[in-house]
Parts: sequence; structure tokens; C-alpha cells
Amino acid sequence: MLIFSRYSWWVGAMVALALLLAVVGQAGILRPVQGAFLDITAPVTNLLSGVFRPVATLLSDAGSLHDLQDENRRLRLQNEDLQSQVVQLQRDSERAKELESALGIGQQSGAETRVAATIVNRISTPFEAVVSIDRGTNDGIRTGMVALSAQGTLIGTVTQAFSGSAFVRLITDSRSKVNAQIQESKVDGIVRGTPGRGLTFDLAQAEIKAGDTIISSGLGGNYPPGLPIGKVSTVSGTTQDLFRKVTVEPFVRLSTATTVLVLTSFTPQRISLTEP
Amino acid sequence: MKQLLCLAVVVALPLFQVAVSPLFPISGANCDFALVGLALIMVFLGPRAFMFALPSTALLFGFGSDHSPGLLLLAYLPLLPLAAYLADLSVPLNRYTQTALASVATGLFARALLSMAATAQGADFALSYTLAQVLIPGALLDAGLLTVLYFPLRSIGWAPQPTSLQRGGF
Repeated sequence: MLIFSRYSWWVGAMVALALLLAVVGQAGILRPVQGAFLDITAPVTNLLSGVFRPVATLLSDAGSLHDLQDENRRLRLQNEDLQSQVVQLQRDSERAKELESALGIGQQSGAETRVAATIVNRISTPFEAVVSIDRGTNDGIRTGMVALSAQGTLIGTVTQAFSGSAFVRLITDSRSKVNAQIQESKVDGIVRGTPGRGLTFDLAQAEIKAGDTIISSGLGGNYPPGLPIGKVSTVSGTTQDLFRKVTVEPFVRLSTATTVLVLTSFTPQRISLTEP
Repeated sequence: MKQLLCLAVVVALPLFQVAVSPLFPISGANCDFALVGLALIMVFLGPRAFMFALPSTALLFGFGSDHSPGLLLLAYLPLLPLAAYLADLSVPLNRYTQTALASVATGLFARALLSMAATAQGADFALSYTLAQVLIPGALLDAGLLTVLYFPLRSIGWAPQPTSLQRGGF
């Protein structure tokens, strides 16, 4: 307390102001001001990111050249495999259409609406992985909605929505938890963000192996079922363990994603519970 | 002139913190532009400017990020009292060392406080990870950025201001 003796009056005033800001923030009084601030500063932060991102990418790529070469080789093989799967799926789809028309089954409308938004900023601390996007309540985005990557992979949840912008908490944020399952074995568990912006698959009691695909299970009603999340990268622990330690590699590289699709047609349970 | 400069820095700090800092992570830590900027305001523009800059930066940084402005205000609060305490010590320390020590200590406190806040919101707390990947790399980054900015400013003739309000003109 000796440290604060010289400025005790000022420290006291600042602590009081901090408490006041916390109360005012909880009450949502500052939200319009925050929304206006985000709208005004978005072009500047975009410009700053645009200037510094190439430098950051260059430094990052230079440090991981070998990893990128390996990844490139692996992705080429995967691409070949996927190309052949696409051909097969196209054939299956055509065959299904033929059968549907033969049986007189009307095609169901997959009325899924998504709002595309650009990532403006990343708020990234070891425990937090949040991005701000350039679309908000004016575009139908609401707090609690589900955010996907451009390819349809689950990447997070909208935590705050303003008129022209919103914050999305990524699944790698250590506060994020998603009910998920392994696509191959249908085993349920929870995908959690870890400190350091990684992912784990917890509470699963089954044989899990590297390469298994993790998708959202839809349990709890906060995420639609079947959204791809990632692949099991490592499984550690012994068969004697109640739960083995499973790490997951997200399908999308969240640190370089630039576009987010907000699923506006799906109302998560957390929103419907707060509605009158 | 100083007031205008202080205002410009206060507005620029949160923008750099949000837009630039996350692009250059080292280990699990990012450089804290806001902290280093506040430390430089404290040294070169004096405690009165710092007293205005701290709440303003916390508020704007909170607006630009997902953090509570009140929490950020508390996180950076020890900087000035710590610097003043170090200046009063009988141990002879030059202004750079005082500022660097106060900044590193405040940075450790700020990161620990934000980590605790994240834990309170449901994040898993890992002490060894926090120490090795967050606090130590973060302190090194802040000290590095402070050094890179402090000496050029000294070399162009900016003189450090006293940390005491009495001696500073009150």
C-alpha cells in the first residue's frame, strides 16, 4: 500500500470510475457509444491491418516454411482425394434427383440464410480469440448467433452485436464450449478452446483415433447438428484413463480467415430462452 | 501542443492495440501497445497527462475490443504509482530503468488480471502456461518495444518529466 500512498486519492478515484464503468457496461448504457466508435474507427483499423498484415504474414511464413511445404504436399493429396469424391457425389446427386422425380417427391427447400461479413480486427490474447466483423443488427445479426467460415465450418458465436458491427468469439477461445460428436463413431463429447488458441475434445468415452472428423452434435440447441469443426490430431493417455486427451485441428485456419458467415436462419437455444 | 499530442496518442493506442498487436504474437503473448504508450506519456508528458490518458485509453480500448473498460482501467492503474514509488527509492535508478521496471510489473499485473477475468468467464486456468507463454514473453515484448521507442525520443531532445505532481507543477 506504500506504493499507492503518493497517488492514493487518484487511485481511489480510478477504482471508483472502474466500478462505475463496470456497472454502466453491464446496464448496456455505453453500447450506442461503442457501436458508433466501432463504426467510425473501422476504416482506420482496416487500413492499419492492411498495412501491417503482409509484414506479419511474411514473418510468419518465413518461420514456418518447412511446415508450409509439408502442409502443401498433404493438401495436394487431400485435394486429389476430394476431387474424386466430388465426382462420385455429383453422380449420386443426379441419381437421387432422377429417383425423386420418378417417385414424385418435391425437393425440400433448404432455407438457410447466411450473412457474409468481413473480419475487421482480431482481439487475441492467450485465453481469448475474438474477431470483430463489419455487419451487425442492421443486417439481422443478433447476439448468440452461430458464425461459420466461408466453407461452412463452425468458427464461433456472436457475443455482442451493434448496428453496424459485431464481435464473434471463436471456438478456439478458451471460454468456448461446443457440444460435438465424432462423425465416424457418433460418440458425443465437448469441443473446448484451450489456452493458446487450440482445441480439445473432452468427455468422450470411446475409442478415438487421429484423423476422426469432429462435427457439432446439436445437443443443447445452441448449434445446428452436423457443422464440421475439425479433425482429431492427437490422442494421448492410456486405455485405462476414463477420458483420453484428444486435441483437435480446426478445418479452417482461424488466424488467417477473412470472411465470416453468420447463420441468421438458425435460432440457438440461448437466444430463444431470452426472448419473451 | 503537448495536450494535442497526448490526445492523438490516446486515440491511436487502442487502434494499434486492436489492429496491429495481434498480428505479431510471440509464444502466446502480444505486445501491449497501450501499456507502452501510456508509459511513454507518463515519462515524456508528465503525470498530469497520464492521469487523463489512462481512463481515456482504457475506455477506447474497451470499446474497440471485447474487454470491459473498467477492467482495463484497473489493469493499467499501477503504472504511475509504481513509477513514483521507484523514483522515491533510495536505490539510484535512471528514468529508463524506473519506467521499464514499472511497465514490466504493470504488464504482468495486467495480463494476470485479464487471465483471471477470462477464467472467471469459464476459461481453463493453467498457471504454468500463463507464466511461460503469456507473462514472461509479454514482459519481454513490452520491455523491448519500450526500449525501441524510449531512446529515439530521448535522442530527439524529449526530456523525462518528474513523476511527482508537486514537482511537476501542481
